[in-house]
Amino acid sequence: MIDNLFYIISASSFALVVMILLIIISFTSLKKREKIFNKISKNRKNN
Amino acid sequence: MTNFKIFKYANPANFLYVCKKTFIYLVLLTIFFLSYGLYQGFFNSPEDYQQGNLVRIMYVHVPSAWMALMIYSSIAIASCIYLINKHLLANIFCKSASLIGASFTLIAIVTGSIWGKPTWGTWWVWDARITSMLVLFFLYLGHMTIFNFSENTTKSGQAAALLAILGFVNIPIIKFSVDWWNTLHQPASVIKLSGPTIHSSMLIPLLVTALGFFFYFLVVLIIRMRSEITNEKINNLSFTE
Repeated sequence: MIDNLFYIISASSFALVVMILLIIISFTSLKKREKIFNKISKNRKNN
Repeated sequence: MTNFKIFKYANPANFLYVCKKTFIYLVLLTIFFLSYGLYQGFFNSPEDYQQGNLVRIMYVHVPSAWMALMIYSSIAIASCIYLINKHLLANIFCKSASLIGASFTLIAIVTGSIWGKPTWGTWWVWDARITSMLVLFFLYLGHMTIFNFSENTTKSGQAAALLAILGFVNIPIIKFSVDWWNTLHQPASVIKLSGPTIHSSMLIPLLVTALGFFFYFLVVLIIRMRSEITNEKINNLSFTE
C-alpha cells in the first residue's frame, strides 16, 4: 500500500485538470473567433 | 535590431505558417515527454528516504514552478520588445502567455500546499518562497486584467508591458528567496552553480517531465496566439466596415 496516496493523487489530478481545462478553454475560444471571422468575411464577399 | 532573422517571423502571416507546419510535431512531443516523464516519475523512480512516496508530487510541482518563472521572464522580454519596437506579435505573445503562466503558478502553489500538509504539518505558511510565488500569481492576474480592461489593444498592451517589466524584479526574489531568508521551503537542488544535488534516478524523470511541460506550453501558446490574431482580424474588419 502506497503511503500518502491521497496527497499524491490530489496534487497530480489538480495539475491534470487545470492543464486540460486550459487547452479546452483556449481551443473553444479559437474556434468561436474563427467562426465569427468566417461569417464576417462571407458577408463582406456577398456584399 | 530589425535585421535579426527572428524578426522575419515577427509577422502574423509568417508566424501562422510556421505554427501550422510545427503544431502536430509539438503535440506529439508533448504527449511523448509528458507520458514518459510522468510514468517514470510516478512508477519507476525511487522513494525518498525521508518523505517516502510523497516525493512524487515533485514531478508536477517543480516543472510547474519552473514554467511559471520561465513564462513570466519571457513575457518581460517580449514586453521590452513591444515597448521598443512596437511589434504586434510581441504584444499578442504577452496577452496569450499570461493565462498559461497564471495556470502554472496556480498548479505550483496548490501542489506545493498539498505537499506541505503531510511534510510540514500545514497547508500554508507565509514563507519567503511561497509568498513571492503568490505575488507572482497576483502579477499574472493584474497583467491579464489590464489586457481585458481596455478595448484599445495598444494602450492596454503598453500598460501591461510596463507592469510585466516592473514585476520582473520578483523573479530573482523567488529564485534566491531560499538562500536570502531562513525559509521552510527546501533550498535549490537542481538549478545550482555547483550542479544538481538530486540523484539521476529522480533527476532524469524530472527533466523529461519539465520538457513535456515546455512543449505543452508551446502547444497552448500557439492555440491562444492564433485565437488572438483572429480576434485582431475581426477587430480590423469591424473597423473598416
